[in-house]
Amino acid sequence: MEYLTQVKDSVDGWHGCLQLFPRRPPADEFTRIYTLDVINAAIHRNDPQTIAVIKDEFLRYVRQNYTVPSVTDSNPIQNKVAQTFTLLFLASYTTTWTSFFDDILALTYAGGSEGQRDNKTGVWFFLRVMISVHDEIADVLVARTQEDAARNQTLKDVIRGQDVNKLVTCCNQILTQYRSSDKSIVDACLRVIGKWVTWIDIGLVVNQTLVGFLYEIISSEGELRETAIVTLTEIASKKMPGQAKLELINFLGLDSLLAGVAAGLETSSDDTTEAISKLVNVVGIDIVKIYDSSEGDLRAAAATMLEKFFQYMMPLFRNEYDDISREVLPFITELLTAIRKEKRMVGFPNDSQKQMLPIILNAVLIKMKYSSETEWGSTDEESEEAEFQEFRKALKILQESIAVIDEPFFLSTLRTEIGGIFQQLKTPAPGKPQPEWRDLEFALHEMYLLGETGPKASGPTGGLFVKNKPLRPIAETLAHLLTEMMTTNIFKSVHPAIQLKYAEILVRYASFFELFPEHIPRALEDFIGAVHSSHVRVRNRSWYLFMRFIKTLRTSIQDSSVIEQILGSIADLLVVKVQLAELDYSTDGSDEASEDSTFESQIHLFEAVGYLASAHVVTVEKQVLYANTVMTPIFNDISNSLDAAKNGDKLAVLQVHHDIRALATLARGFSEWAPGTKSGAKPPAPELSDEFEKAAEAIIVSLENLGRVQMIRDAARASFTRLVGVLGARVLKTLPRWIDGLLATTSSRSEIGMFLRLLVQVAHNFRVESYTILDTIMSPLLQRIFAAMSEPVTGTDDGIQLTELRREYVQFVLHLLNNDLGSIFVSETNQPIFEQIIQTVEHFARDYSDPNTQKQAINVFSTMCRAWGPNPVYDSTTTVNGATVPSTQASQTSNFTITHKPLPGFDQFMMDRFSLICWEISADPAFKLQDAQSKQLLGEIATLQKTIYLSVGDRFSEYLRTAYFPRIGLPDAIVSEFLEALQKLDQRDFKNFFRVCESIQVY
Amino acid sequence: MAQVPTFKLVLVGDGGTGKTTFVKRHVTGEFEKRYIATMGVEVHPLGFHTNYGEIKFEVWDTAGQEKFGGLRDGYYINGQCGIIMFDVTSRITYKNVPNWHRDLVRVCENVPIVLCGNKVDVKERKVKAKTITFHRKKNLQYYDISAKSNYNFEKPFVWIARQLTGQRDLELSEMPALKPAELEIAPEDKAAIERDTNEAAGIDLPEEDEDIN
Repeated sequence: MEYLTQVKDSVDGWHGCLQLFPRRPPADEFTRIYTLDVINAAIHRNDPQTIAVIKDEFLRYVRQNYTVPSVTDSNPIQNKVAQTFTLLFLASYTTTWTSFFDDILALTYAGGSEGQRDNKTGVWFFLRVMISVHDEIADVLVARTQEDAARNQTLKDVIRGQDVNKLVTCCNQILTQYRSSDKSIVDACLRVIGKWVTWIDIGLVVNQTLVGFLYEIISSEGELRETAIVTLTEIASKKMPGQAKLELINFLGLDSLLAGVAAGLETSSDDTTEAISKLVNVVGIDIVKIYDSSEGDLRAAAATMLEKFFQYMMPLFRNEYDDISREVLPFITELLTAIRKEKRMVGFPNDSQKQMLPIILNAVLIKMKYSSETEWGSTDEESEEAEFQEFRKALKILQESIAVIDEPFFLSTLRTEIGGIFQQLKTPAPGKPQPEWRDLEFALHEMYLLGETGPKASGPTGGLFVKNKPLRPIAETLAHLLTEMMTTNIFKSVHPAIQLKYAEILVRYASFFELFPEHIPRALEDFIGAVHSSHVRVRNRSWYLFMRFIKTLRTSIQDSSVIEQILGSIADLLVVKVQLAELDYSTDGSDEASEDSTFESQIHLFEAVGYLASAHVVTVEKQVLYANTVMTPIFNDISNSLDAAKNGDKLAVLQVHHDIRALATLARGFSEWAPGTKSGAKPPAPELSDEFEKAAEAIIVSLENLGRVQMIRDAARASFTRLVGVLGARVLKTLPRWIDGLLATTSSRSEIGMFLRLLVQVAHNFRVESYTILDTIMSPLLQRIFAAMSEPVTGTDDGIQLTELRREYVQFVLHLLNNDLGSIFVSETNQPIFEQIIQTVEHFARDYSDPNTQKQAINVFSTMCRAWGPNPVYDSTTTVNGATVPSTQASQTSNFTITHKPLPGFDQFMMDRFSLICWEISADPAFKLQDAQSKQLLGEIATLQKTIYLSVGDRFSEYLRTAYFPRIGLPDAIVSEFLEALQKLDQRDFKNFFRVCESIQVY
Repeated sequence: MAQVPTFKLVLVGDGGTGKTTFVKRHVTGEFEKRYIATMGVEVHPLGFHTNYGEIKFEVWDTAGQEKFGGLRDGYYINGQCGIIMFDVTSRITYKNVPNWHRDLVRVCENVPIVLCGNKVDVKERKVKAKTITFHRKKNLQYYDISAKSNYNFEKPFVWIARQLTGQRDLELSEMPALKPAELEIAPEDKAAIERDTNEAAGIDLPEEDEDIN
């Protein structure tokens, strides 16, 4: 192997190859192909002498070997030789080998009379070279360097000027000569024409003889039909001005061809029909474009032609095979776009276009249905199913275009079509069959899509049904159809595809039921059926959909006995049971995707129960009773599993994990309230909180016993947030136990990060209420974090986790400050660790690897200045009659109220430490002024400077003038400019000043 | 017992696109692979059970030779089908697809070829589904794949088998034994990939008009 590579790379390795390749008897195929590779590499080196030698030898070779009737070289070898010729062509056609094509053409004669291309081998070689040359210099799919593109342009120009006539003549003669005797030569020759026509004068190629010839093939139904149609397509799609294009289409006689083909479409093979589809499509698009972009006679001519092509296209679109329909989609799309544009300009589509709409829409609706051969949900047909769904999406775009052009027509058509199917289901007309599942699925699918049609308010179905608002036409139609649907009993048709789609529709249009509550009982009844379905896919999906439906409509259920009834009828589904298959769940919790999907669906039922049980019509006593009824079996389950789980029984651990999640999800349904926020939700009744305290206790006990398992910690941490909603401040007294359990010694950095986020939530929810507890835990917690941050990083993921933890930490400090809990950091308990906090934040403020954290770190300092500086800080100051008047209070603009409480000595600290950081950063060479992130950072620094000034006052500017600036040697002019800005400008203006003031930043 | 129909499959594409990882997913093929030292190529016999009986692909993996050229076209000789692979996280590997295709068809005329975009599991996808159009122009089949997660592993082989046997309804009767996935594509990501692919299939359709009224 290595030797071979050496040969190729060596400067004269090709000499041997040039002798080896033509040798008779020939070497084996591999060797010969390799010798050609070596020779090609030599040509690439572009040495004129080498090229001359190779050219002579190869010309001799083909003259000797390709002029005999039986050729010894295989097709791959011939193709490789053609490639070698192509490379020689690139290197020498415009210089030393201008007779390139003449030499190749000469091979096609065996010495017969003029015009006879009687050397078959030579003809083949000619065609191979033609294809190879085209692919090399004119294939638009190949990406090329600018140099190569320029070279190709020159080569094409020379060919066009010098050889193209001869080449075309030869092709024509080959076609004439071999039309009946050798189909594969004709096939290759047609492909050559199809390729070359894209860049040579079309007049040379396209003439009556060629067109007649193509037609002869197409009408003969022989093997070459497809190639002929492809060639015709290539010719017809050549880029040219509108007028010329219409003439070409006429000249090609496509009109009569397609009229003929359309008549015989039934008998064509699928491949031929698909080729025809492509032809109609490209020509159709061109005609639409001409129509759309022209005026007067040309436009009229295009319109007439468009009508004809529309008629040829439609049967193809309606073809039973979607593959064929799909080919003409771009044509229809272009057409509809043009009609839409016309309507926008003149207000209405013209008559001929108006007639097209129903034809297209009817075809779309027919294609939208599952075809009669497909079965639903069979795994054998997965890819067909996927393709069909993809095709449906394309159809949807078409029907939406139609809806935009003529909404009343579109809606009335759908109303009739879908309504008709429902009607037939309800009261079958005599003599007509019951609609089968494909009809019903189609009807439901169209209804499902309807919500996405038309101008979008917000979200796919946003604002469709709004109380006390007149319905838009689409909503009106939809309401009519939904009413029809709700009175059909369609859910009882049992087919899973129908049931699934039906449930999806109930959820998508849940707001319809708020307007028409009379249909709610039927919907609920069907849902109860769906959640009990024996079809797993229907059942699992319905569990989720049921939750969504309930969430929207619980306030519309006015009768508490209905709720009791529903709860009773789904009670049997609330048993948490681990499936054996779930044991794959690895204990490190990284492999969540393998978790059993049944439980992941079932969990939604607990949420639904929560919503139902806490509905406003349910009394508190009942709420407590319901919660108790659902939770008691889970508590029992936990206490039964705990011992086994402690002993390492994986099934039991998983069972406890599921139980925790079930309890948490139930809590989530029960309360949407969160302490410390201004949502409209009410806090839960104390009696209910009593009940959920038991749940909290069960989870904490699980955590205390199984806290070494990450899965349990994850579930418990997630449950905490849910419990806050049902327990309010009661959760605080157990906080130390939560923290003990959640921060295991094995906790990863990312886990600690998530835990910090949880504490941020506590701080935000409870603010001062959480002071005492957070104060107690702060020092040990921070030590734990500092330790985690200083552990060595072992790999990329580890590094990412560390970056995240740093971010979480800075956020945590900032959030505590913003929630007025900053005094925890300087309390008696935590005073000893305060310096370390400042140091870590300072460290991040200087760390350019994470600009976000860097910015936040600076922000932490500004916030500290506001809280602990000598004077309160106001956002901007305006000087009125020499007195400073606060305009807006800074602390309130950011939604937080920070109590200002000066710390003795902090002012010096601000000037010495915080201010210093500002100057260090802007002087750091790693700091790049140009990028946006640096600009933001500068803004943050400016804010800090200004904040220090506002708090400390002129002592700060004095400090800078007398102590700091002289030390760094800032020129006086800049010093006074800066200090003046610092004193006079408000926050925002100072920020701008600081950003643009590059002279300061170089110091 | 009748001989199992066996086809030579040439696997090409830029270096680093995951060709070797891809073939190695097939457990028995990996077990039975042989190295042809004179050619510097590994041949992996990959067997598949279909509703038309067993079928075997001798996959020629030219791993590691792309840069130096190796035997280049020599590998393709007598190839009966091909897979061209590129890496959806690297634009240049897609740009080179036409070159691989041209080299391949020069030696293997008229063979079924599948284009595969590998590494769709990677979040930072560079070659978006809608830019992948080469296959439509050349009548190839295209599949998104993820060798590491086994996503769509069998699809290229099934399509090629259909072309070679002429049985359009050929399906696998059982999945080949694959190495366990090194990562899972989350269902929502999978859905997103499929959605993008589907959207790309209708790419000729212009985007929704802005002024829809």
